[in-house]
Parts: sequence; C-alpha cells; structure tokens
Amino acid sequence: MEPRSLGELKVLLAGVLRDTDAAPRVRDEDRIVDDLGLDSIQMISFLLGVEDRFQVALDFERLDLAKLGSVRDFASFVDGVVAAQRG
Amino acid sequence: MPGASSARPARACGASGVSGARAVAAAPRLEFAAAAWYARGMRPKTTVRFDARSFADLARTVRVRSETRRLLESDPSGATPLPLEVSLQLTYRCNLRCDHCYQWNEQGFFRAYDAERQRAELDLEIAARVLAETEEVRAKLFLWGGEPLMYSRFPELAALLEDTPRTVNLCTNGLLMKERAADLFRIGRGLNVLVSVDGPEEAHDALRGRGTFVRTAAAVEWLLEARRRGDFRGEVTLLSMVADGTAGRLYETAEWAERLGVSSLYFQLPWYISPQTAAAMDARYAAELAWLNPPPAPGRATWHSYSYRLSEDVLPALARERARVAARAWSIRLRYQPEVSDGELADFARGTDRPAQGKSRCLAVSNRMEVHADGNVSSCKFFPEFVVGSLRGAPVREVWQSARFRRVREVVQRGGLFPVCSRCILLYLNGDESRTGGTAIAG
Repeated sequence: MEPRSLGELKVLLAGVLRDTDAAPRVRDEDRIVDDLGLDSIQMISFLLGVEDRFQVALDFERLDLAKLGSVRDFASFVDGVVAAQRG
Repeated sequence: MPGASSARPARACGASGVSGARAVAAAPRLEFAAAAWYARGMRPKTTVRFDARSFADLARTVRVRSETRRLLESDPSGATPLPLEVSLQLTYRCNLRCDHCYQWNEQGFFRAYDAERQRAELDLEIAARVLAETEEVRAKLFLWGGEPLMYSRFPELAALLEDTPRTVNLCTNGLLMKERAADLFRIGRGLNVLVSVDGPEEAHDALRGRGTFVRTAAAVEWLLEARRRGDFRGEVTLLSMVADGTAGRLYETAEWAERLGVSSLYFQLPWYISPQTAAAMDARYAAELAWLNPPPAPGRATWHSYSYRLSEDVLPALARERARVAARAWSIRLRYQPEVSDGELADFARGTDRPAQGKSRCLAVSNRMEVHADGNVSSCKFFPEFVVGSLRGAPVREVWQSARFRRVREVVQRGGLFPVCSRCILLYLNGDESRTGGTAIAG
C-alpha cells in the first residue's frame, strides 16, 4: 500500500529543488540523498517543510541517514510520525 | 591592482553554515535540478554527500530552528531555555588591517575604542562558565575576534573544549595556525577551522596586505596535511570575499580550493549597508530601542562602518562568473553567503534594507547568544548597540532570560526586522522565511 504522505513529500522535494513541475519525476525509489542529491540547505528546507506540511514535530535527535533512504521509505516513516502525533 | 578599491569594510570573520564531513559519491541524478534550480539560482552543485557525522550536524541545525519556530508561535519574546548556539568574541585585536574589515580598517569601529578596550580579551573565567552552563544543551560555539588565535588564553580554552566536546567553528586569517597547532589538534573532531582566503594571490594581498596570501595558503596546506596524518581531526573551510578584484575570479578560486581538498568554500558577499539603510536604522533605534542604550548620534553607530561594497560595474562579471561556477559539479561544498538569486544580487550589493530569500524573521535572537570580548552580551552579533547585559558576575541563563533581552526580542519579532537585518548573515543561516499555509519552503 502506498504511504499516505508519499505524494506530498514528492511535491516538497520538487519544491526544495526549485522545480515544482518536476514533482512527477521524483520517483518513489529515488534515494533522497544519493539520487536526488539534496545538499544541506535543501535538506534543512525539506525537513522544516515536512514539519509544516504535516503539522508534526520530527525527533531530530533520532533522525539519522538510515531513515532518509528512498522517498517511499521516508514517506512510511512520516506516516508513522503523523499517526503517533495526530492520531 | 585587483581589489585595491577605495571602498571600505564589509566583514570581519563571519558565521558559517553547516560544517560537514566529506563523503564523495558518484554524480547524482540531477536532470531536473540542473535544468531549473541551478540555472535560475546559480547555486553551485556538489558531489559531496552526507555521511553520518555531517547529517547529525545538520539535524541539530534543523532541530534548533524547529524548536525556535515553535516557541515563537506562542511567545514572540521567548527564547530557548538556554542558548543553543554561543558566539565568543575572544579578542578585539587583529594582526591584519584588511581593506574590507568593518572592525579595523580606516572606518572600522574598533578604532574608536580606547586603548585599554582595544586590548581587552574575553575573561577565561567567563568562557569556562559559558561552556559549563551550556553543557547540558551542548551549545554550538563560534569563536571569532579580531583574530581569535591571538587570544592569549587560547591554550586553556582549547583544553576546556577538549573536556566538553561540541561543534566549534573558528574563523581565522590563518597566520598563527602553526603556533596554535597543539591547541587546534586537541579540540578534536568537532572543530571546523574557517580560513579567510580572498581569491588569488594578488587579489588577496590587495585586500589583506602584501605577502599574506603565501603565508595563509601555506598554513591551510599545512592544516590539511595534518588532517591527512590524523593529527588534526576537524574540518577545513575557506571563506572568500567577493570583492571587485575577485568577482571575476570565483571559478579560479574554487578550482584551487578543490585541488587543495578543503571541505567547503564559502563565497561571502560584502555586507554593505548603504547610507540610506544606516540612516533608517538610526531612526528605528532612536524610536524603539532608546531604552536599551543611549542612541548614538546620527551617523555614529557601528552600522555606518559597513561601507565596503562591490562596484556596480563588476556585477555583470560576477553574474557571468556565478553561471560559470554553477555549470559544473564540484567535489567540495561550495556556497554563497548569503545565497542570493541573480535577481537579488544587485539589490544585495547596493545595501538596501530588503532581505533576500524572502527572509522575514530572525530566529538567532531567540536561540543564539553573542558574547563580546569585554564580557558583554548582545542580541545581535555585529552591533554593540544591542548589548543587553554582561556575563561579569551574572550566569548565562540570567542574562539570556533577562527582561532586557526579552524586550529586544519582542521589538524585533513584533515590529519586524530592522533595516540592517537584511545584511546580517545570521538572518540567512538562522532565520525564517515567510510561510503561507506551511507550503513555502525557500532555501
């Protein structure tokens, strides 16, 4: 089953890469760091954007690279955070 | 002679962004990024990828911003319980007199200090207390001056930092690095040494003094060699001023930095404050901050010292050079400070009060403490007019949460950014964009 946050995360990623038209081209299996190549400034924008969009507080103390695998993997992680914080 | 401008200061040593370990990977799949964002924003591409260490550092940066944003929603004059970042100005003294320095060039405001104050250094007892009192949050440190390696208590400070490891950014001209080798080595892997190298040799020497490039470059190479040996475990970053003499030579500088193998290279745009913006700041200070410290006479405040600027006629060459730099991927991190788009470049160079990147709120005032060499604490890094208290005899938490500090925060959060905020690098590294329904995510 597709993670609920997947579509919006792809829009966010396209946004930090400054090309919203490219959202459909961000593939589910793209690795956020290795394939999409987000740099530090883009990563900061992306993570704060996730908090804004989904109205959640990410636990940055426990957020590590392993959770930022593919777009789909990260969407599953975000779904879990949303479920835990917003019920 | 490149850079031999009669124009004046822009910057002493600045703050830095996220430091990072290096993990070079294969070129990423960048078809859309390269096509659009980089082409529009002239943002240099890098093949450097996050590793565990650099990502942990970034996650901390995001956490600081996130926590600050959240608390400001309920309390505009609020702050994190303790400062999560602390800037320690170790000394006012400097062993250079750079053309573009707002502290020590002919219009630099340190020159107006009396001789005793010019010689003042941060009391080691204050530094030790700051470290102890912010240990529970492991506040990130920024060490600067003047020239911080001239600080006579640097060995003792390094020993303290060895005992309480944390991320430390040190801004230096590099001339004393070898003399401070043992101290730099003992601080450990959290240290990021940011060395000012303003372009190729003749451009650097024109700004900083004859013969300085060779000495600084040798010091950088020496530190990188120490890193390869494992003696120095931190990072090496270069800060490079975009000046009239360097604006058309950014690519050359980037190539040199890449060959050296530094972690990052930051091109710093002059923090020029136009006379109009400075006058507007005089008026705003008199109207809203006279209770804090006596308003300086018109034209006398320190923001009038930020008068070094890029000439209008080099802006086209700078734009072309940015395009050239953006046209390939680099094996180091390469940034502009601040990251302005081509459309914002001229505005920034002209010293207006309009912030770039849509920045509209300072978070640093609520998460970062500025400690001056005399022990005073200010809400804003670059302007001593914003002194709110002193650590002489008062604990960090007391000054940080004081009524005066809270009132300054309230003025800037409720009244909006000050005219000079548009020039402040902290607004870009530790500030917030306008948000509309949580969807605007500017970089």
